[in-house]
Amino acid sequence: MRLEGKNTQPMSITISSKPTSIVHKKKRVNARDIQYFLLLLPPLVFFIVAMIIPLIMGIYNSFTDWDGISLEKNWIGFTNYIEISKDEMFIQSFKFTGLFMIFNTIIQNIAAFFFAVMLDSSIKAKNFYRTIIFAPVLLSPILVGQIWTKMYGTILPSINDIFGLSINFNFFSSPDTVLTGLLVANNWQWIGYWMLIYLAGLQAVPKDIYEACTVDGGNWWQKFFHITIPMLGPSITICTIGIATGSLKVYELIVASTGGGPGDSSKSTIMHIYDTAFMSQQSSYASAMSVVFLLVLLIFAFIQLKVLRKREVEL
Amino acid sequence: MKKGFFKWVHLIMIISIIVSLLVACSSSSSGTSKDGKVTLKVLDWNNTNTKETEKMIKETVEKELPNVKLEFEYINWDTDFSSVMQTRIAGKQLPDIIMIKGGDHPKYTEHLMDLSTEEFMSEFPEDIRKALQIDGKDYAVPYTSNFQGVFYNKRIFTENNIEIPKTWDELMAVAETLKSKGITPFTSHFKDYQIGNSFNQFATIEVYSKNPTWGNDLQKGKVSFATSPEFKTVFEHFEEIYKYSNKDPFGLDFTGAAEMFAKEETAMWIIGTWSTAQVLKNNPDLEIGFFPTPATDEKNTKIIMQPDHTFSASATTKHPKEVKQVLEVFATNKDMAKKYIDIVQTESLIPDVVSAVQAPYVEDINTYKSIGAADANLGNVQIPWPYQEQSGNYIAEWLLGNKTLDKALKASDDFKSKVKFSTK
Repeated sequence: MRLEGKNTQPMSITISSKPTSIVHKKKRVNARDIQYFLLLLPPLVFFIVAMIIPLIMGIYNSFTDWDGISLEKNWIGFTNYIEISKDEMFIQSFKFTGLFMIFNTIIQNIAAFFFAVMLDSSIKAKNFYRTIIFAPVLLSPILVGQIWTKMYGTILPSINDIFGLSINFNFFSSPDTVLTGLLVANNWQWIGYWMLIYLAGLQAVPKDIYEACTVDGGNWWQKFFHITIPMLGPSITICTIGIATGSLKVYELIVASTGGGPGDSSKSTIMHIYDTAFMSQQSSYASAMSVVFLLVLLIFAFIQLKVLRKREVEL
Repeated sequence: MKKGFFKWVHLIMIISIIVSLLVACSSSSSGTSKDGKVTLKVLDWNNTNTKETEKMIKETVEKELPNVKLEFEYINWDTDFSSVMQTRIAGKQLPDIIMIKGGDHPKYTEHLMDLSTEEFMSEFPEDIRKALQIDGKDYAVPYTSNFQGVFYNKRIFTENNIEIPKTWDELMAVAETLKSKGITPFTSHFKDYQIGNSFNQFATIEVYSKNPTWGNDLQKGKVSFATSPEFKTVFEHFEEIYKYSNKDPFGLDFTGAAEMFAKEETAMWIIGTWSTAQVLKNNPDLEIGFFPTPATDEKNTKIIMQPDHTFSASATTKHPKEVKQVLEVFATNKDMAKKYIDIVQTESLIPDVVSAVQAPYVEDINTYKSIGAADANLGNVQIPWPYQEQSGNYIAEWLLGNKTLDKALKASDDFKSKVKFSTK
């Protein structure tokens, strides 16, 4: 609060001409400080050992020709990074991962939002539906991969036998349909999780805003577009970033279902990096790819945060 | 005073927690126990009847060497062996004894114990030792071998009066006859490793039989996939196999393939002896026959043999004496070797050890051994397994119409710089 106006007297400050002597109080290190430091020490050590040191080592390795096993490594400068720009398989795996992320983000957000709105209404047996939709979240992606391999390979084709149809259900065995097959499996697993985030968001919206809108004559659609969606801004941010980063890091699901095939058609970037490091024994090249991938992830997360945060409504 | 006292008690408790954590982290589970027994870790990728083999090996070794205790750790060779070895080497935690697949040794020689001067190595015939030696030195105790070729359903062949094909063209004629009678000729599981495996089989009979150093020449730039008519033939073999295979081979894995072959839904399966145990689990009465993979030129039609299970020692083991003693048991105990091959259903590389498994395919293999065997390692040591698998992926993309044959061959050439070769 600023004090300005007729009644306030101007304050005069006199500065002493004498130089003020600054007294450095010796800070006492007490037992409490040591306690805090010691409590922080284990996670700090783990963070440094498990994150910072490997990161620095990885960046260093990316400038060498180390194969991951050999006792010697030679500095080769930016050679690995130059190679990446010419690596068709890296670009292809990146394209696949990108498409997987885009479709997942759109489908999962819309479906989770839809289910959340449906199950936030007063329909019957909504707890039952919530459980059914949420249940696949509890499974490991390895199991999900195996379930859907069985589903496409054995269970769904048996429908053809029963009804005498000839629909091609084996999405994992063709490069044209493998992305669709993986999207179905991934969305089946994760929609329930993001639905919960949206449900929590919906339940936090104050009911009086809706009442005010009703009094003003607003219909269901107007409430939905002008209240629900803006008020769910923070949930949309969390879901979008969560789904996008999760999709970019996809690995277990693919290993357990398609193994990156047929051919290389469903090889994700992480899988390509893993194969390069551990199968082809090109550790340094894989490190360079990881660094590039990390930078892309960081840029991506930064843009998402900037764009989405702007749209959020502060309560 | 009281407050200060509690502060210091807190502090001491926190320090003791941290110290106990650090002590727990540094403890090691391998080494010498209180009763003087030495525990040796064994890394094992065998996946056939592992419980039985582990029990049998432990009993035999611990009876001969009462001061030694073996601790087994199992992994999947196809998917995990490389990565596990790499991380263990990096972490300086290589197990004392490592089962290494024949052909994989050149990758790891600098981390393995040189066994050349050990007396037990003289037990083995020169040709078997030579197949696994690197620069004339032994790094492994040879233990078993597998055979690769075409496994076939004897009943289907007999009922349809089909003779065993000796050339590739004859094999295709057999496939055509079977197809015309409504029988699916080949079991194919392109979902997992079959293309990579058959890649080496076909290349062994069509390419390496003519030029045993083709892989080294490829590395030096003297030859290439795109300019090799023989390798073009190898690729084309897959197109023909694909044509005569079960429906949707890209959706079928090894387990499914074994089930399909066991249920007599197909007549032939181009694979190795490791598959028979799985097939017979599904159908113990199936009469499985075996013939060598036919080459374009009959003189190259040979059964393909590969040293399979071999035992090596870590160069940095803390118990070199005990490790050598265990390896000696592996190399010299013929009773254990016989039990091992009977449980795993494979062939032994220990002299005079013959399998007791009575099966038609075993008799066939023994018959064909007389016409000579081609060494699968010819290719495996020159074209590393990941390279074979990747070329397999390009073949898959060609078969599925995403690449032309020439592009698939060229892509295989381009991958050369992306993989570490085993030999220099």
